[in-house]
Amino acid sequence: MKIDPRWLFAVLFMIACGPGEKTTELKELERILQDPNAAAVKEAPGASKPYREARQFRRLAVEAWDEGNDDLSREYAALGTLRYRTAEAMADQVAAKERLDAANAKVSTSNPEIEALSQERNKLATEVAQLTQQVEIARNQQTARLQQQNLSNSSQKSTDKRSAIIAKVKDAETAQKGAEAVDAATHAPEKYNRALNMLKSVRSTLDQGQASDQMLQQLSESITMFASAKVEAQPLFNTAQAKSNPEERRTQLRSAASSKLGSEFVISEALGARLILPELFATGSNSISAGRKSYVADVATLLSSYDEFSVFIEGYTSKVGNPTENLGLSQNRARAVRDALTAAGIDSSRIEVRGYGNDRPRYPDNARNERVEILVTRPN
Amino acid sequence: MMRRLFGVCTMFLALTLAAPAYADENQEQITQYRTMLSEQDALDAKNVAQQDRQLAAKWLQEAEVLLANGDGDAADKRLRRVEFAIDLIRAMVASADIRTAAEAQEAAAFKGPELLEQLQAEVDALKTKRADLQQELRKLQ
Repeated sequence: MKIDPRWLFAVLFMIACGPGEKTTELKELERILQDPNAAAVKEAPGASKPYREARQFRRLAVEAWDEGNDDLSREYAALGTLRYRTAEAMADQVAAKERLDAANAKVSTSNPEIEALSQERNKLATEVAQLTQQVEIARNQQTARLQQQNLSNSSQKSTDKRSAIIAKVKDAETAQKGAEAVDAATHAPEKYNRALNMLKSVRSTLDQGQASDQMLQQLSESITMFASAKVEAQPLFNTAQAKSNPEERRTQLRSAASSKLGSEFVISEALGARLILPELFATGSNSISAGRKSYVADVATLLSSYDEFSVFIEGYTSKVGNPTENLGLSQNRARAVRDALTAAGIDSSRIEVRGYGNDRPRYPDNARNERVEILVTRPN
Repeated sequence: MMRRLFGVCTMFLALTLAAPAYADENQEQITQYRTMLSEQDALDAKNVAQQDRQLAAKWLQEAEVLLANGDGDAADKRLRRVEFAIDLIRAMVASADIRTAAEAQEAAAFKGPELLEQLQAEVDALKTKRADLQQELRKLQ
């Protein structure tokens, strides 16, 4: 057979001028459509329609390529790819749904048991919560009961103690009155004030609603202290009382002076007594004779007991010597006695001195007239 | 002659009025697709379709530009791609959702025995506690 070279040339020209290489998009579409998974996609429920559309777009893309319209081929290939991927996603949905159904089936198998246990747990939890609440309430009630009981006991004890303290306060007040009866505040101020402060302290604490053993102890000390103050104040009080009656005091003075010096040496005066100390000095001397100093000491003791009395010391001499000199001597003798009394503790402001010389001789005997007379007086 | 003139005028009016109407329709479609993409963006918790959404958004923007330039055919092509892309995105997001639900249920199924054991222990502990509390309550009362 003989082939016409013109025909051969025409065939070769056609082949050379035919469509070129397929577009990337078309190649990709063809690749995914030929993938083994595509068969599964095709069969998946709901995926068949987009799958078919993908194939149609592939055909259109090929046709466009055949016609040399690459842009249109690309467009169809891109659309086909989108449809295939949609089909693939739908097939994936089906697979996922199957997986979900299987998991649901497994869960539903264990669910009834879980459900039953959950219900039981919830019921128990409710019961336990209620019981916890009841126990809590019961505990609170018990605590309240115990507290009430303790409070009651404590209150009783407190009341008893308070009563004891109140009774003791009354005792202390009685003791206080006893001390005040002898003016202990004046005559035994330290003890009296200490006792009084303790009593006041207890009263204050008691007013604040407190009651303690310490308060009872303080009261006991206070009572003791009031009693002690009373004892201490008693003689001083008696003295003070006596001092308040001048005539009685004068009588007491006379009596005390008589017992100390001898009644012949004590002369009653209207406002007191005159104490006579004969032979107190040697003739011409203004120094108290050694043997007579005890007289002065006795007088000092007496005067200290009758400290509200004024003292007038009168100095005398015998007739021996010059009357003028005797006057001075008598004054010196009065001063000497004053000094001795002052030295014995008698306040000098109570004492006045006078000298009478040899006037007013009391005794016929010169020696006895070397004397001092002390006038102790108290005005009404 | 008059009939021919009338025909020419009618065609002119039809073309003049139809072109803006066609453009309005495309613009409305663009807006609609944009809303759909936004909705899918919100639904795609696992971002499985993020790339496709970006691609669709790009096509949508191109369509808008082409439309503004009066290239209606090219805009149509882009809008068709977007339509198919939205279908794809919906399918992918739905698939991901189902897969997520399946995984959760599988985990629950796997944990079933463990959960049963845990519940049983809780029940036993609660029973013990209930007994203790009942006893204490009796003592307190």
